[in-house]
Amino acid sequence: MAGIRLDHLKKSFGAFTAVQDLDLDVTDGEFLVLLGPSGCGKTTTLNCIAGLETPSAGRILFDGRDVTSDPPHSRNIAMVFQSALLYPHMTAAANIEASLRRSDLAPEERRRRIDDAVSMLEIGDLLDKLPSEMSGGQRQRVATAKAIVRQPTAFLLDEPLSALDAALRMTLRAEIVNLQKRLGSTTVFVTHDQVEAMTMGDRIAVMNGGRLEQIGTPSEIYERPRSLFVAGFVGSPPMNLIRGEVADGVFAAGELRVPLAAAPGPVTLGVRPQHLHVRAEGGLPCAIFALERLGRETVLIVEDRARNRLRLLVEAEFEGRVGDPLDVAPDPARCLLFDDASGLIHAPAN
Amino acid sequence: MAGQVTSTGRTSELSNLQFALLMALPVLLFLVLVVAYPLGYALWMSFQQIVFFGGYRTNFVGLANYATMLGDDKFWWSIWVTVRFTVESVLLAMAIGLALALLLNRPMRRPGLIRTIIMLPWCVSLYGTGIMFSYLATGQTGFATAIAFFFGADRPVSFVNRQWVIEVLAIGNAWNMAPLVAFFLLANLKTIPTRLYDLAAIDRMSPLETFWNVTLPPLRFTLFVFTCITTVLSMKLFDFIFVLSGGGPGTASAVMTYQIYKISFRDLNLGYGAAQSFVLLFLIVGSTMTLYALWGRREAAR
Amino acid sequence: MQRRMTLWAWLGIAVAVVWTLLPIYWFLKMSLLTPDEIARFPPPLVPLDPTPAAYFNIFGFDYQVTPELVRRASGQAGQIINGLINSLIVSIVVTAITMLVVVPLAYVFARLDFRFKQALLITILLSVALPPVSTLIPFYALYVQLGLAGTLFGLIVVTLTITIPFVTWMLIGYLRNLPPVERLARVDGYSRLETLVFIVIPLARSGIAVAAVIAFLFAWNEYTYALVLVNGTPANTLATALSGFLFQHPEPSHLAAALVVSILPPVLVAYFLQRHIAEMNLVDPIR
Ligand SMILES: Nc1ncnc2c1ncn2[C@@H]1O[C@H](COP(=O)(O)OP(=O)(O)OP(=O)(O)O)[C@@H](O)[C@H]1O
Ligand SMILES: [Mg+2]
Repeated sequence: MAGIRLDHLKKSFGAFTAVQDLDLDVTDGEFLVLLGPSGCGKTTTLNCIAGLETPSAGRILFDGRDVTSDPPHSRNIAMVFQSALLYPHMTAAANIEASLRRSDLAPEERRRRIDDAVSMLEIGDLLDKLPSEMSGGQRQRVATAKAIVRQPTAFLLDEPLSALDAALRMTLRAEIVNLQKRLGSTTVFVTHDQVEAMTMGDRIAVMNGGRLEQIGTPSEIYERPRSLFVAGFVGSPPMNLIRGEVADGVFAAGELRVPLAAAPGPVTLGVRPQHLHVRAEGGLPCAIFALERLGRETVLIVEDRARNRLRLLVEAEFEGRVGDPLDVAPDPARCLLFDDASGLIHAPAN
Repeated sequence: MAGQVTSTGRTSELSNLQFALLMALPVLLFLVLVVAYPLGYALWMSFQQIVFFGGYRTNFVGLANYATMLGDDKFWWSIWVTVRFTVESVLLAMAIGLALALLLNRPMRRPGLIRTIIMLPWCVSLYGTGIMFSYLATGQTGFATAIAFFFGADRPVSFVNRQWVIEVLAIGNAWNMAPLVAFFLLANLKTIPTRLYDLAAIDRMSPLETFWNVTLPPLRFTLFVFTCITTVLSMKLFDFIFVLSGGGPGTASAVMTYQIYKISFRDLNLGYGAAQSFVLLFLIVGSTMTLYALWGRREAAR
Repeated sequence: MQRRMTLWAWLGIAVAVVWTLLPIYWFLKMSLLTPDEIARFPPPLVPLDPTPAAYFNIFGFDYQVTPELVRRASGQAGQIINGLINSLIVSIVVTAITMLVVVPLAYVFARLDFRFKQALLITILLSVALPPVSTLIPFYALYVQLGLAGTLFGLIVVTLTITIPFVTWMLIGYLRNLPPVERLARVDGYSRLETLVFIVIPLARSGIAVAAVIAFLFAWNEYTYALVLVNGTPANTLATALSGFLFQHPEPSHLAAALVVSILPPVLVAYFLQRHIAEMNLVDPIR
């Protein structure tokens, strides 16, 4: 087990820079999620940690030791690739054993590790099958078993769940976290799915355009997003973002007025759907645009007179129809203010 | 403890270039030699007048061999014959190859047997094909004659004449090449998901529309690649024409390769033959590059 | 509707089979004809009195047709047998060397990025485009100087110049389509060479098998170089022995029988490997 440190990591492909000046500290035993939109450099970062790509600049340290120019195998990491890549011409058993071919383990120890992994992931009846004869979830389990038999310094997982259906994804999500906590191994998990990130990570590192936007625990990221990008990317349904202006301690955007103690100037107000409430009167006059009933609650999408859409969470039994007029108002104590240049400038004091 | 991680050895890996050179350098050297040596030698010859009678001599003549070509009717004729033969061969081979691939892609009984039969011409050498087609198409021994007499004719029917010999050559060449085209197209066809055909059926596409919208798109690139391959193979073809028609009757089928052979080996005018073979090489490279510019680039960008 | 479709399909297959088999049938028929039948005009559509005599004759055996009539062994029999053996040697050696050399070559071009790749690829393409008639004289001159004319070794080397570029070019396209197993292999600690030997080659065996068939067919059917370099020497191949029938003393049934025999080895090779061909896929090596 080891901590991983990225020190001013940079990776360019020709003229294009995929990862820019990235500093990241993964502590020993931590489950870190790399989150970001497609093409933001997550896989590239992971490949650099694994040694599959050579950084253009910067260093990679495992437990303080510089491994920047070590080949992948001697870093003793295990990797599960996007869409559970396995050797297509080898059976599950051969695939798992291939992980240990370069280790100098005693045969009994080898057997024991494989048996452990097989029973842990319940893949005993798959061992003689080829990857093409398995379902996506089965392949995923075999790929995971292949990774854990190495008892590596770190697990690197690249969107391992993205190719699976929703139900299977949920199951495996819990399984992976459970396994990681039991093994206590340092893990970097790449995803562009923010639900996965929120539910699985000890900490989340949000990337955008090759840069690190913010790193923190899921609740930090959720409660105090440091930039507009993070605010809009994390959370489902997404945060409402309203452009407006602060003057005399009041935020104003169209007909909306929110009392907020902030420095005057143009800003963006961010408010999560659960902190936007329906009022009988005195709020922002809107009309219902759509209702999304989720069972436990309902997402209400409303439109104000300027045709700006807002989302709010209401109780499951909410009565209403498309076109019904209503007033909405944010809870001033839960509003965030962002500046275009410097990011978060006002947040509720918890 | 910290040192234990490296117990398996910190073996350094080869870089891409190092590994590529290690794997490829010996072969590439061999290839460069076998491309460069004959090319260089032929280039040298094309500037010489080489005389055998009265003692072997070479005289440097500069571009005289190339200049001779300009006024040589046989040379211009051989270009025309080559182009006609190549275009007909390629069109036939591609059309027949595509048709065979579409047929083989249907579910059928004994697919292995049918595939093997369709593949047979590919196993016949080009000179073998040449011999077969010469017997098949000439009047004395030909199939057409046998059929014509069966229906009561009294004169042999021959296609090896000034008018039709190129078509006979093109058909024979296409007969030989089509299975290769067909099998690579078939491999592509197999990658089309059957769902797409269901979708086309739901959209009530006619068979022609289905072919155009579903079947053809994934084949287009392979079609381009094989158009290039069959073009190159047809233009540099020699043995087949040599045994089938020997460039005749007269000069009716004297393609460039045959002309070069005749000049070099019969007339022993090696310098002139070498000069012509450069023209042929430029035609081959030029036509593939033209094909790429007009067609391949668009397909590759897809 | 469905019935009619299958009827058309069967008709298509029938046409395809006739198209494919007609030239072969015409020759097979000729190899079974008696000399009188061959001399007859118009040529018969089917052999009325089929006899395998020609097949015995070309391998040097007399054939007793009736107690009075014996069809004599061909004077070319020695050439044919010698050619058959030489062709087998050349084709097998060429195929083996080609595959040994081409698989790593195609692999690095298909799967790795490195400097000079485009330039090197163009060299390969150029050597595909070289017409044998243009290179005959340079090779002949070189071979006479080196004493390689009329040797199997010399013929093998020239034939490699045909097979290597062509087969490389075909295999590059196939290897490009494989999944990115190299990354997995690097994490598992396979060296580059081990990745090629233990992972890529077993994974790509269909494509490699097809490439081997193509190499074999090219080598087996090579004629132009053989005509100039080994014809009339002890290193003659089946192809040159066959053309001996054509030009020296025409005995059509012997020619036909020899040609039919010359098709058999490739047909055997192709039959065992045809299922792989349908699994192989090709894209562009340049892209
Ligand atoms: N080998 C390469 N050559 C050139 N550009 C590359 C290469 N690999 C990645 N890129 C570019 O680098 C950027 C980051 O790619 P990366 O694969 O890291 O994205 P990602 O965050 O993993 O996205 P996704 O969620 O879609 O997997 C992309 O814009 C991609 O086009
Ligand atoms: Mg990725």
